[in-house]
Amino acid sequence: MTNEMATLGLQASGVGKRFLSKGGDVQALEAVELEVAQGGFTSVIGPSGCGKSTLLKAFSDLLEPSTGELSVNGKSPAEARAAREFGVVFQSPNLLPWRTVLRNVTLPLQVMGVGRLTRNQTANEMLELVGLASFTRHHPWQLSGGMQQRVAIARALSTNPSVLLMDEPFGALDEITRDRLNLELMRIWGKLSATILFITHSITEAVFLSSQVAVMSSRPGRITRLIEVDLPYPRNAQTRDMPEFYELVIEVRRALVEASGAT
Amino acid sequence: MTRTEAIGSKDARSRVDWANFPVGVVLIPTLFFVVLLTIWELAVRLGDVHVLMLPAPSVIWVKFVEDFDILVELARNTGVESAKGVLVGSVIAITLAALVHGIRWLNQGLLSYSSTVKALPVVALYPVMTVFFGVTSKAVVAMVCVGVAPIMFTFASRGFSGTSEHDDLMRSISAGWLTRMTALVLPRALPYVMAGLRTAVPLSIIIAIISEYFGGSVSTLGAYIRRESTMLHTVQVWSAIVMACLLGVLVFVAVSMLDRYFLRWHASRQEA
Repeated sequence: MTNEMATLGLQASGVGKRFLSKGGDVQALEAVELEVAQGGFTSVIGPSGCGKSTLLKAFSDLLEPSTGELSVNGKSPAEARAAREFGVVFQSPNLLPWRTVLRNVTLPLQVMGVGRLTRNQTANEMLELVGLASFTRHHPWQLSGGMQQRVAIARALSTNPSVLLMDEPFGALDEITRDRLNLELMRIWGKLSATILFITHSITEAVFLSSQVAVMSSRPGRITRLIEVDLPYPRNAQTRDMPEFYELVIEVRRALVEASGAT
Repeated sequence: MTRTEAIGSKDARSRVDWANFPVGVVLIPTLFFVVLLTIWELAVRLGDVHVLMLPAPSVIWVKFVEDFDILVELARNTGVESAKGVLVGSVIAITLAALVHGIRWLNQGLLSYSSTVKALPVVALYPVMTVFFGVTSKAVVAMVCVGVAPIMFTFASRGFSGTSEHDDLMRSISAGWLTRMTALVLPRALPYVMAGLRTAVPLSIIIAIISEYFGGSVSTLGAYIRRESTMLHTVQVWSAIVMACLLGVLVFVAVSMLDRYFLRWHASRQEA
């Protein structure tokens, strides 16, 4: 990225979101500023209910911000959604239980009107990428939670998006599975060089994966600190043993404490 | 978390426990049935009950075998009438539920209307139906329709009403209306539709037979039972009742098989 004017992968400026409710309005987001370079990996970390999922939903055009502007590859979220610029991985695997693994992955391609042969081929490639090539004919209930989430990643990747929006995708998994999927995600990201926005409440996960960690406070949801993670890529199991890794984990933890103390 | 899983756990009750299958599900009821028939047979013979009051099971069985072809024909006609009624009633109800599920007030209105119809003894409407259709088998079909539609509407509307994270998924991939319907909304409602059918189909046989008591096609179970009973042919009546029971069992098995087939992706339909 030599050009200084290069389009950002993701940008939020002055984004606020207010939810109206009977028990009083909730300011879910306030004046959120965030920039993610194309090909960058940014994690947003914060306590439960701080509005980090709201931010991701705003980027993925699932809700309208009350104030401010968002852009994905220089386009508005609505335009970016129509142009299939991004894929979304949800908190739950969110697979359609009546479809086989293969047909879950082909769904976005089916919506685009891609022919059956091509979409099956693409889906098979994606399933190979996430290590589930031999499970194409299974139904979701036959897979473990971790496998289901890998299918969800394959589905999000099937349209070859340049941006991946991931909303606590490994939050419901045990720590061992989560560590393994973090490694998988690093391997996949290395192959695809997509821009990733990753929501999490795990400090080690955020540090391990990202080039930038955005720390959020709750009520109102604000980004209180941006921490650059200059650990070398590609990251692997050894990365977690580096002293720098621990220093960053401590830094993020302190930032989280400060953020919650500020409220 | 998702609604489908919620119903899954509710339906788990109906799962057959194969480990106890021979004893619990087959052996005990069979023994019970045999004992009951024996008591009945002995009571009639020893008590010298007149055949017009209560025929012995053995006498009914002989008549049943003798008239088997006629009875099958009667059951077939009654079965076709109820099947037509279920089909028409379900299609109307499900289509209506699918069309109005986005329109809150209309959906609520129709739901309260269908609750009222469900509370109504449907058979009371038969004279009205004969005004519309005459004393024909069409009137019977219409009766089944009226009985089935509110049940199917209630279940289908429940199936269409919920939203889940799947709706976010559909939006995120910019799915159009048709894909949303075929890939998400209809399959998501399917467990509810099947639950509705499990209630509606056995009921449809009951409504059909009772409607036939009042007239309609001559060669149906209801019309036959009524005609034979006025002629005091008690044995014929009982053999038709046996056939009606068999018809009931048959449709129950048919619905269960449909359920297994259409919901084979559903975790609750899997043997552990």
